[in-house]
Amino acid sequence: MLSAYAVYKYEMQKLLKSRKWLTPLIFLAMYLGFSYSVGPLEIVSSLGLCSLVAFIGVLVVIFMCEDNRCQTMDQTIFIRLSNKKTYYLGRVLMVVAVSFIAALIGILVPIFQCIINGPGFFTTPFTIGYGISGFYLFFISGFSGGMVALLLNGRLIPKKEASISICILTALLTIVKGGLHDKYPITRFLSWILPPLYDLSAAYSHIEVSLWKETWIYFLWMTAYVFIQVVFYVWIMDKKRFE
Amino acid sequence: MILQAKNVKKVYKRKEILKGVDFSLKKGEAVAFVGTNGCGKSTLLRILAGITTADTGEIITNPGCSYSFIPDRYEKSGFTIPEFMKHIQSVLQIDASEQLEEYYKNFYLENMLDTPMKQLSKGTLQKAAVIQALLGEKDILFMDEPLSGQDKKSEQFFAQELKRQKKQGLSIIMACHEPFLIEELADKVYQIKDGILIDGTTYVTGKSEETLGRDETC
Repeated sequence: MLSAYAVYKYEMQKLLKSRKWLTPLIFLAMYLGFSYSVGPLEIVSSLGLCSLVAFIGVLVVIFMCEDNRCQTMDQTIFIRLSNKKTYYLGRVLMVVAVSFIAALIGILVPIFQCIINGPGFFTTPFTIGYGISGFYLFFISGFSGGMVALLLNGRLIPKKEASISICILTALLTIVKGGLHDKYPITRFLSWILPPLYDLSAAYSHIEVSLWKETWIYFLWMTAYVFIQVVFYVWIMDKKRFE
Repeated sequence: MILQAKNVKKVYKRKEILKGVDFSLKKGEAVAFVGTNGCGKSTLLRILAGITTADTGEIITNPGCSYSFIPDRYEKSGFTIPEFMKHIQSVLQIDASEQLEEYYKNFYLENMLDTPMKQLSKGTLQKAAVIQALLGEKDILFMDEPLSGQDKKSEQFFAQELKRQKKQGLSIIMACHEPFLIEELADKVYQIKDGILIDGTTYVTGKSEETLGRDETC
């Protein structure tokens, strides 16, 4: 696990130095600034909508980072590891860190707005439950977006245009999944492969009585999905290595 | 035997690059792969190192065998050389600061340690690639054109250092066109032709052109 942490530090510093995170961060800040500018707002629907932005934001950061790989430098790190899987786990840790930061920003903005503007900023009081669930909602959404970007990397899809197109299409379909189901019910047979982000976000946005009772199954579904993404990523990259 | 390859085959873009390569390496032995550009030297080196996978065949190594790798080029990145070396040390879980000081001095890098690698020349980047591979314990060193762009003094120090590490049991596999390194280090030279590894020839200093073929290596 120490090796995975060493790879994580390397990947994280590489990401920070590349400044690829800057544009998505500006967009996230702009979105949060606009969406939390005028109250009163419904907490759950605003947090639910923001989870889609966290998904896209982390996806873009990780995809841009993947696009900026230092292939031979990475290979010299990779070859030093006795357990090659730790290299990929280190990269997953980087996605965890980016998702954590995105989730922290995503939840701190409404909390600050609530503190500055008073309890009337939201239609219902902002409880600790909303804070914790909102943070996890952003985190797991971002994590899933980051894993989508890792899985659609240039080593698995060598053609850059194809990689970008598939990534954009996956992100769009993930977000509009619900509308697609309503209009074309047959898409349900295919869309199960996409992250259940829409399902989680929609369930969260329409809480009527109990936060956890109505959403726990969707949180569990999303968490299981991300776990499968991680296992699949480590497995396929270990098979594929550096082509 | 520290490493063995059996019937390794590789197809790249519908072209069969390696057509069933058998190879073995002993502890402390240095071998060189030579051949024309695109003949599959680097591909074979990367397959043996575990960086790339073979389509068929088997690579057998001793359990716990550790590797390092010098690629033919390093990318321009935002790291400075010491920052990157910190990551290598972190991965290896070692503190090699004294060794690094010595390498920085002998590779004439002392004035470039604060410069981001994206601003360094190709030769200087290659020195970073060489230094990272020299750090820490390893059983096999894989080198793919390790000398590209380096100055003569650095080349000589590098060859001396490798000789020293080889005496201590380091095995070396290199894919290169440089007669200098082959003459200095190689115990055996293998030629790759039409996807096949032609039998290893015991290398005799001064006979390089006979073994390697002037047109194909230089």
